[in-house]
Amino acid sequence: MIPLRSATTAAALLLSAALAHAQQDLPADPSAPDSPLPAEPGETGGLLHILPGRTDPVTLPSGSAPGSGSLFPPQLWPAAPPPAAEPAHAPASAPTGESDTDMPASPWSRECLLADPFGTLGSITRAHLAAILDSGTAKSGIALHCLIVPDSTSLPDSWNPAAWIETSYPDQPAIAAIIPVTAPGQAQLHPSRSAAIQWIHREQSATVAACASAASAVPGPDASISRFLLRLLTEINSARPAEPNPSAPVPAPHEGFARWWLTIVASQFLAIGLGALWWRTRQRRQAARSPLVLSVLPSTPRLGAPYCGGHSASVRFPPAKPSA
Amino acid sequence: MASPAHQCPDCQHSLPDGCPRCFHCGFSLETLDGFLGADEVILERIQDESACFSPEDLARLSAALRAWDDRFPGYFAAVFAGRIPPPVNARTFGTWLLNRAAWPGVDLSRPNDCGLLLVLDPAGGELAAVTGYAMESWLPETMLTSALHSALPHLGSSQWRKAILAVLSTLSDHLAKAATFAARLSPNISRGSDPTPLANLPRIRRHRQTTPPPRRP
Repeated sequence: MIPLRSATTAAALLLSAALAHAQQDLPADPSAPDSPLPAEPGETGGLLHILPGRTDPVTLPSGSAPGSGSLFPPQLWPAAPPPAAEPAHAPASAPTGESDTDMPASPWSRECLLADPFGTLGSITRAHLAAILDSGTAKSGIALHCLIVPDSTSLPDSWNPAAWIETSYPDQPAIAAIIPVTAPGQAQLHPSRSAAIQWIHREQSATVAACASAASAVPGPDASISRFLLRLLTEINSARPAEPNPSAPVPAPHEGFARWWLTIVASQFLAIGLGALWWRTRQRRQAARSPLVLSVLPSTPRLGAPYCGGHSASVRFPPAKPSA
Repeated sequence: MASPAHQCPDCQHSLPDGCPRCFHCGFSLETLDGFLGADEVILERIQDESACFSPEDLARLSAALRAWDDRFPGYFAAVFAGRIPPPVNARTFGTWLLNRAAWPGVDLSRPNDCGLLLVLDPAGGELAAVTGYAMESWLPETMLTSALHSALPHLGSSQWRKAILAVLSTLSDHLAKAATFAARLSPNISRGSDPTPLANLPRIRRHRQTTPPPRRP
């Protein structure tokens, strides 16, 4: 990888210099007498003499020095972390007594879940863990702020996680964790006042021990911290109290009244229906018992009979056997 | 209500209103009087000559007949069960009874032409329903036949009481429907306890205090 990286770095340097020269203010006349002299052989910019109108050596942007591999984004070209890399949210030196004045007031921030003021983690690992923490927070609803420190030395008072977590999350569930890289078992968890995460107080040691055990299974600070945070997220999610099922119908404040009103209306309809049924049955029974007046229609007598003119019908059936 | 067609009880040919005798067979009441006599007879509401009803049956039938009287003021029903002499069938015998018999248990407001007589001949295997002139319009012969057919299952098993009750129930329901339908058509026909239509009925029924006919073997 090293020769390939060197060749790639040289090609990138050449391309970058060409682009920078093209963008910079070039002299109006390319054939001006103040053209740069060819560089001495052996110099870093030995190929600059082929670039026309070049007056100053190419100055690469800071942080992209040749040889560091940082001409490319760190996600594409993982290079070894520079020893003097600037941490994203931290001062450049350890929080010793004489250098406290250079440290920021507080590494905690609501917008950044992962604070690595001492540059303990690599940039790739840091970005990876920040993404994991963001995802875990969005999934569980519990903000997990982590402060990565090299060891378990004492921190400035302005870095007090308990005060910051109570101030920043007065009612929401959140946890501020201080994780020493060299001793993950001495990590500290500071929950907010939300009742959903008060279990941290009584199970902090067990949780930290479980996370430290998981972290000790892998070598290297980055891998161990990653494993520690993943296990901590798992513990937080598994210990979270069961949330109400969002698909279940949540009773609205007015649902009790609606149910009561529906019961009343249904009872009235039922009573009316039963009453109507009883009334109908009673009417039918009364009609069955009430006398019916049949008018007498005139009829002419037949067959010389005064009362019955033979209006009749008959059926035949098997004769009954005479009893003995 | 149109006057239904009538049939001769003997030969079942059509009879026009007012004909003195059947044009087909010459049947008339005089013919029956020649067989059965012209004397007037007195019968019970349930005349059980063949002893086919038990005392319990008689009680149940009496209750049913009283319910009939209460339901239809001015009308009555009676039951005759006995052996009918061979030359006469159940229909002609019922016709003769309804013209020549008197029922002391029936008040004077219910003349014979408002009567329904059920004639049961268990030994001859025949059940007949005969109505007077006043019921002809309310109970056509098709309805009588239908009611008698409803009693056939009981007649086949010699359950005479159930057969009579089935006929009375079917005819009562039909009369109730007919009366309700007629009351809707004509406001003059009242439904209820108003006896106004019956107050103008001609008192054509007479109690005849005569000796009952001799029992025939």
